[in-house]
Amino acid sequence: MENSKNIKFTDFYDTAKIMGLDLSSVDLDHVDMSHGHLGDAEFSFVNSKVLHPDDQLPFSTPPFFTTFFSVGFVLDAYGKIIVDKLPFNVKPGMLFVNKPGELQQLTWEVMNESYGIIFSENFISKYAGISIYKTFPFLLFERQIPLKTSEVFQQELKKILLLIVDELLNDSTWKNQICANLLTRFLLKIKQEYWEGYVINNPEKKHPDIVNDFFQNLEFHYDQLLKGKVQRTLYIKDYAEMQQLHENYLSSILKEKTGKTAGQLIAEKTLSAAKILIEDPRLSLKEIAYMLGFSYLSYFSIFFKKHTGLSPINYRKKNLQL
Amino acid sequence: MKPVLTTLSKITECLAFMNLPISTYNSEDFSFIKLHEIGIKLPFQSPTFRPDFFNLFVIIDGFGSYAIGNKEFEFSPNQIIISRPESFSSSYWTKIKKVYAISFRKSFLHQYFPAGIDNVLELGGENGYSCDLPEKSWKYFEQTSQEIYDLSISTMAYKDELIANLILNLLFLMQLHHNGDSNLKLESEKQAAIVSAFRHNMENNFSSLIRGEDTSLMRTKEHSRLLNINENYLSKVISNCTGKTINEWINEKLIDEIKYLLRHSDKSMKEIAALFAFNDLNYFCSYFKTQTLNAPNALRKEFNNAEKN
Repeated sequence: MENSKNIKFTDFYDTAKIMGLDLSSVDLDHVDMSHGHLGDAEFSFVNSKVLHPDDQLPFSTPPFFTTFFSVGFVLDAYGKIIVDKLPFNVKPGMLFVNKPGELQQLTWEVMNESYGIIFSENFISKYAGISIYKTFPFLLFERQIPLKTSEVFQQELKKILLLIVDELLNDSTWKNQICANLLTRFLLKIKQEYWEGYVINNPEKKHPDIVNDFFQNLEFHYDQLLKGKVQRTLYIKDYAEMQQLHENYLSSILKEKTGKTAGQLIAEKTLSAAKILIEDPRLSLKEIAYMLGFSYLSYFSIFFKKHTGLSPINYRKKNLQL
Repeated sequence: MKPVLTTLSKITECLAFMNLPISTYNSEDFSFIKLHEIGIKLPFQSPTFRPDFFNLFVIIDGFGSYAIGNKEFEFSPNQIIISRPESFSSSYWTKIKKVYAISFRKSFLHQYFPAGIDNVLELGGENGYSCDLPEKSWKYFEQTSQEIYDLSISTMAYKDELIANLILNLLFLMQLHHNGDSNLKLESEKQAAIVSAFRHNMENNFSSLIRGEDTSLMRTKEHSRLLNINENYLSKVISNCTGKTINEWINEKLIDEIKYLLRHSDKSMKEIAALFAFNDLNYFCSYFKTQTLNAPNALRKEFNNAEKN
């Protein structure tokens, strides 16, 4: 556990740096494929072959936590990936899907063809109009073991990837919507292939997984909050009670397994819910603050500014301009 | 020959009318028909009906014409036509070599993609539009249509979600290659939602008038009450975003519907007036005259003469 305490949570730009890509010198508005990377912090496409030329192999990242979802699609490459301390050998035909907050370390040894997609929860909900919780629950709640893909399925997925690249290169007015649409198609195919009939387990199953259940409760509660079905926010104590645990025990387990305290996890979820709500201009900031359980607008503003560096009103302005 | 005016509106009703089986891939929400495979006797004149669904014609090879509301399109090869629900429409075919007809309801898409699609379904404020694609996109479009068909007859899990996803993809593609500029200036989601809700309510109001379920035409006051927003605010949003005031929208729609019936049906003036809740035939005529500078009777005669020649 010692070493993971030192690991910072990386946002998109930090991760890009870890992956060997210095974005400070790249103009993100300028669209071309020469850096092996297309897109922005909300949605990106990576061509690993271009990013890691043969003379720089083997290449290894330090362990890092991501703040976004990532999909790795290996067609012809070898290496290693460590997800939550479980090592896997990366082989051709492998597909791995990682969720935010997983500890990852990636090593490439041979690289001929491999692609990656990075996206935020916000992107898919804003431009494709779906909630990951409802449509792709397996992304949130399952430990993602690398999946083996059949030849036919690889071709199907690759076709969609090529469409995404086309779209990113085209840079049309509907770029984000179309990319979100194609990404949804990509994920639907995965759902169809591997997760048919998947339903979220009810918390009363025989071997309770405390961390998983906590996330399920958390996601469910915020899903309800966003829909306006519940008014009250919950505290660590409430989440602990749902699993008949003591709050200190829950906190310590969470800290051990995820590297973050329960408070941090709840705050993060609140923050991402706040971002989604702020981008909906129908709601006033006061309403949002109230929905998320802040009794005063100023508390909310301080909370938001502390985590994002922007006040809610500035965040809204910035997003509505784009 | 004038098409028969019918009360068909649902996908299933239309299918029954055409004597097509209603199976798993032809439901009230979605259907995919390969027109060239169902043995239509040509030339074919469809009856007039008010669909409650979006219609997407992918014409790979075929000729004919299509009328929806105030819009008339010529079918020609390599063309795509999409139309919105809740307007009178009818089609006429002289040649059907390879034509796909995809029908879907808004609710079909909404159930899987509950947000962010209002804008693309507005069709630029029109009842419908046609679009010619560059060769590369056309090929992709045809393939994707075929993919939708394959999905619709398959028994795969989550196939409806995938179909909805593919349809949206086609809609985005069409929007990109849309002939002519959009009249809409939708700057935010909030505005898009209001415009879309207003149009939806207006169209519903017309449909229920025609079915005789409603007896009054909704104006600004009723619309704002239904949407729970202030009258002035609604007026402002609608006229800023669409370039037309609420009354212009309503009057245009009303005149379109009346004109359509005058031209394409044998309904008497009195029946038409009654259909749109005019109590008095004189008032109906004078209203029509102020809006179009032409008497309803004159329009009908003009059209009949033109058709004879």
